[in-house]
Amino acid sequence: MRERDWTNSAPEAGDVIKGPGITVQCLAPGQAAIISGGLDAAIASLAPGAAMIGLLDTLPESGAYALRIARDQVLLCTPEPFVAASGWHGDYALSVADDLYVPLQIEGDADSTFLSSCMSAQGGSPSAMALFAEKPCLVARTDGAAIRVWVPRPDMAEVWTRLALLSRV
Amino acid sequence: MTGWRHDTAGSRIDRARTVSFTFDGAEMTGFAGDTPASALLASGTRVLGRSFKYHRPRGLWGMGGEEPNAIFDVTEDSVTTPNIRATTEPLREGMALHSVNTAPDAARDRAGVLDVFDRFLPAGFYYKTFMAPNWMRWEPMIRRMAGLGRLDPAQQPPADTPQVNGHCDLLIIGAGPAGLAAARAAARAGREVWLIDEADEIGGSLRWRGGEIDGGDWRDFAHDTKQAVTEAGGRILTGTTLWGAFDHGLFAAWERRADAPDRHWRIRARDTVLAAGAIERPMWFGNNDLPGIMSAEAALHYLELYGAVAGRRILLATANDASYPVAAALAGAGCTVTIADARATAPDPPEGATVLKDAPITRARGRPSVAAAEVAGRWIDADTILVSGGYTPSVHLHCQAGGKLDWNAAVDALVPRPGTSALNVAGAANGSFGLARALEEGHAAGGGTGTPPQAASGDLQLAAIRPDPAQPGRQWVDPQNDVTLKDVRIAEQEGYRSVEHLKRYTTLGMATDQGRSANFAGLAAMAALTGRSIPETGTTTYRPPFSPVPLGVIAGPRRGELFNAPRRLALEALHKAQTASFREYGGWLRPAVHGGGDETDLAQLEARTARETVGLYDASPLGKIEVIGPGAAELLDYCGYVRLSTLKPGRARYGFMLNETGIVHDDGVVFRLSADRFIVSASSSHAASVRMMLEEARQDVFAPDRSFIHDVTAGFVTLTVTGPRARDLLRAAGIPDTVCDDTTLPHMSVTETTWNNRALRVARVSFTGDRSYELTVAARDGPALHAALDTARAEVDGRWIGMEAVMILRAEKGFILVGKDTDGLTMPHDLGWTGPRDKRTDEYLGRRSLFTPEANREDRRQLVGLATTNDTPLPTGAHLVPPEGTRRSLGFVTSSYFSPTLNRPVALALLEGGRALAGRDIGVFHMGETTRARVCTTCALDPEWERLHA
Repeated sequence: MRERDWTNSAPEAGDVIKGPGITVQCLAPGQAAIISGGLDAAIASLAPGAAMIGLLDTLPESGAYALRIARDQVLLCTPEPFVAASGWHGDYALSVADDLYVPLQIEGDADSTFLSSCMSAQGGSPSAMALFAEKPCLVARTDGAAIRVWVPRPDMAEVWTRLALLSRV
Repeated sequence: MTGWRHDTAGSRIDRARTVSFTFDGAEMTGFAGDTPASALLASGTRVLGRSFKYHRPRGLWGMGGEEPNAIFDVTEDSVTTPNIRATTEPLREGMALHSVNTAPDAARDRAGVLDVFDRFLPAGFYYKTFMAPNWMRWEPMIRRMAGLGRLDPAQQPPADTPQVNGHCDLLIIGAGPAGLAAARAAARAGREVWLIDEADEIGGSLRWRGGEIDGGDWRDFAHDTKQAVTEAGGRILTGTTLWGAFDHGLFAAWERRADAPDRHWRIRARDTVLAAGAIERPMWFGNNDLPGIMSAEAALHYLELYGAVAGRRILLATANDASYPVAAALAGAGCTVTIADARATAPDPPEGATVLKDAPITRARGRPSVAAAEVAGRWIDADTILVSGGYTPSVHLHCQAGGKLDWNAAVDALVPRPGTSALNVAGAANGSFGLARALEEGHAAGGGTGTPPQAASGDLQLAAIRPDPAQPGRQWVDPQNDVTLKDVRIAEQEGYRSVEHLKRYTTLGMATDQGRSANFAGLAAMAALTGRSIPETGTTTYRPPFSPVPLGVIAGPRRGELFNAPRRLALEALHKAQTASFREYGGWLRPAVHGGGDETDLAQLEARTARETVGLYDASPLGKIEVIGPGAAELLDYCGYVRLSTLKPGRARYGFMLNETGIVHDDGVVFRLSADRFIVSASSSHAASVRMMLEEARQDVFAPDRSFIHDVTAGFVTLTVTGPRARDLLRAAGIPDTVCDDTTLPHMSVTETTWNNRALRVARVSFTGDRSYELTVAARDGPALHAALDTARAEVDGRWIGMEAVMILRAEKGFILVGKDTDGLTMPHDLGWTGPRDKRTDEYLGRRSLFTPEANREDRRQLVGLATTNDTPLPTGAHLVPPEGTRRSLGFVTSSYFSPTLNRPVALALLEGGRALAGRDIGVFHMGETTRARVCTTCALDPEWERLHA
């Protein structure tokens, strides 16, 4: 394949892949920031009560949540825009990262089979970060038991193509 | 034609369903359930291939992955798959089997004449013979002759192998008696068990040897086990080769499926039991490679499973009791069987067979297949010789997992040393060859408590068999690679005494069978020749794959758009709408040029426009690595070649990042937004590695709670506006003049503002030498910024430019691309930047390496410019050579373009002691021709830097 033959493209919010027993939907990114350092202080300040989400943990039905990336780092997702600016806030560092990841949602009867084709890691890890479709993604479940994956934006075209292929198997 | 099909035997075949196939063009039939090997054996076809080097006729030897000879190129539906083992593939209607390494076919191979010259072709002959006049002349011929099978260049197998991850409590490799016992014990304890076997049904050797377990037929035991595994939530994967044990408990398995694409498993288990059994060894005597000489165990396998009988007049050469049931079964099938037992004390012969005691086999004869054998000094007529030289435990996966081996003289084999790998080894793989012992060990390995499954058979009685150089004739140690006992002796004489050297020198143990039936003989022979014991001699390193695995299975869907896919720009669709054509640059798919026509012409047009008015390009892949915290400046001081703690907020500074050996790893600009917030704008292709180096230093060198690193590159769009009318364009696009005038935003500065209620960062940096602005917004705001700039572009006669034009613009100024204008030896002073090296006294990454004798050499390759009077740019990569005298490489051209602004070529190069050669001519050697160029400064355009403020 020549270097300029990539004809696939990243999905838009609302695009859907349907396969036997599986539906994948691209969602619109919301408000998010990378937070490092004093996570408790950051959450208390920015989104009090936001749940800390590990791998395949269940997301709250509404409100903010913190997808844990590392011991001292989360992607804090909130329904409202952040009032805090990027920078150092005494206890924690913050970088606005609304569009760093593109979320997608996987649901259907075959989601566990589908998931095992995409990632090796299982639940139980405090970090939501895992290799998904060979890319470093954040993976959680919705309260409706769908799987939600945050894919790095530049990798979305590749991941979407791979998921489309997998959905046909 | 001596093999035949028994009227009733064959538990695997369906005689009601005939399967047609061809072998080397001859039409044949078998039955559903056959393998090509069993069908060919039953058909009486003896010569199935030719040997690798001497092209000697070869026939079927084994029954599984150890088969060295029966390897075919298989054509089905016009698709040819090379090197399929006849022993492991199911026979399918319409299969066309072609023997490998033959012309025109296995029976009439023309190259068979090579065998006449065998004495001139010992191991290593071609290493020496083809050195003169030069290897290059001979290489094409040797390449044509070497190798097995032929790849069909037109064939493109589908990239449809699913890659599936699996987890279980207990992974059991091998579903023979030990594996079944382990599975049953574990499943009954409620553990999730995965039981994997290469064969397409469970049972292992029980399938052809039979046996009673707990007083009942083994099939009842297997059925109970299967049920227990399934009920406990486990899985049984048959037709599945577990081909590799990797770090951290990862196993890879290839599952072959009849009605669906194959499947590739990546399995992680809490515990693993290896019950992979053992492989029968051959015996070593003159002409022991003749067609019609095969493994005794395999003969029983073919008889019981397929009704395929190896011959009619059979000599069974052995030194162990396990061969006696083979003789009994063959005699019962109607064969005349003579057992030649090398032991003086041997059991009584089974009914219908005769036994010769203290009767070692010394040679065989026959053409093209075996006709007689010499046993204890007398010739015995035989159309088939079955041999059993003992058993070699299948320890490959234990060793792949880091396990060690111990010598067990009682079973004459190397066996796994307990506790040296994470695998629990049981049964024949552990050197426990009797059924009762296998069940007992399996039961224990599966965590079973209480009484293990019971069976009657005791331990295997055997005598050691070794290659004997005193015997007459050529003795084949490795039939697949045509290695004889004499070759091992030659290797020893030439000093290749290590088994690893023996392997490389003779090719012993290479290729598809990986020496399963050969390695033991090779190391035993080397041990004898060197006066060492077998454990002292050791084994070669076991590496994955255990069996050949199609690359397509490992690759899975990674092909085409999924093969090493580049990262994608958020604005790709908008660039396409601007008629951009794309290429990969540093792992990103980016616009190369815009519009239709010749790419070189378009790049020239775009570069000229950028110099005359304004050019716009997408610089989003530039790193946006935020370094935040009270320790951020200290961290960046350590990681950078230039000090950054002295940088004022709102300003930017260009710098290098070195690795620990002082080599330039990346260059880029660092912005300081506030006292404790920096943004490292690493180069597009190095952003990820720069982030990792920063992170490593943060965590390992400094207090990790004083600085934090956020790589937010992917979340933002950066559009660069460059050219003398850049500021006009910004003004037209609605960017406030107060933001980007030269007072508030001088060159090498940065500011954060808003634009149409959107956060906007404007940086005044230049990769072209012209006035430039980098505008950065959140990715979601990228389309709006693109639209505004595109509208304003028309007002200033600007153009969207691609990376080809950017390459020209930066080369005109002598701006480098790390990795293109540097190599793995380039230090900052080679690029002309000595200030920090001379002045900094504090510690920084790579500092100490900048003062080694190597770093101080005056003939280091330095970055220079090259000028030529020719209109054609110098070839990138061309070697720089002395203009006179002996030609040797002094360096090479790193970047070379035609400058539309200067109307002449410009070039950058790395040249030994280059800066001292300024003004002198140098030779440029390319494709056999030498031209001349003049060494000059790197900056070809605007050396006074006036255009930055134009």
